[in-house]
Amino acid sequence: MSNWIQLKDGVAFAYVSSQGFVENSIELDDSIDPHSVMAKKYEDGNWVEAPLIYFVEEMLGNKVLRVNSTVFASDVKGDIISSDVKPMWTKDETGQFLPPANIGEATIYDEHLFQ
Amino acid sequence: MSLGSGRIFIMSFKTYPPLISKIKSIQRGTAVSAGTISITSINPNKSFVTCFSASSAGTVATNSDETGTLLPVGGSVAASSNGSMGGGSYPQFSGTRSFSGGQSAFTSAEYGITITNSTTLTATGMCKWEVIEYV
Repeated sequence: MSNWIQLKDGVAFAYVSSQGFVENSIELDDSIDPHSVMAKKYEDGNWVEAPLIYFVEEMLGNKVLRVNSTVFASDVKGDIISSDVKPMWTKDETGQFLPPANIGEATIYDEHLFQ
Repeated sequence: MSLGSGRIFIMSFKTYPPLISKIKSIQRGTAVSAGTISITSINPNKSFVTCFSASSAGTVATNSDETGTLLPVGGSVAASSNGSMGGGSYPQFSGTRSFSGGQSAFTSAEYGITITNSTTLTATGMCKWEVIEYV
């Protein structure tokens, strides 16, 4: 039995234990536990930590409702963001995500009210 | 029947064929994300796959109370000599507010895997599986 690692977007996403040859796979050395390389990036023959991609998973109007992260680029469902962006942040007309503001609004009353 | 001397003669005997395994191959694996998985070639008509997975999906509501107060600071309204308003600035507020409530939409989810063709499985999410091919 050999363990064969398969990549998705350059990151290990599945392994197969089989006595036969498996196509589109990287045969893993027997000394390496296949679970230990899951979600790791294959780079120049080495398994390295894959960077997390943060994205907005759900919006309500211009408000961020839910954020998520993944190591698989094709699993990203919304706008890619930095890890700073949190729920309740808003997206402005330029596409930038901003934290909630603490400035209130005031109404200027008509001058006649002060007579 | 009586054999007189008490000796027993074996005239014939049956032999049974050795046990033959009906399983041709077993492949096992794990997927941590949805996608297509290559396997060693099998006959899909003589194979089946078993899998198990448990996960969750959805959202949960926060359980914190609303806290924080916005306090007006600064700002001014200026009045001119004829009684009309002019100049001044919008009131400024300081403080923080947190939100709570919302609705939960939290469910358990199960992911599966299917045999797509002789060399491919398709996983819908994180799962462990075994493909068994029989003779």
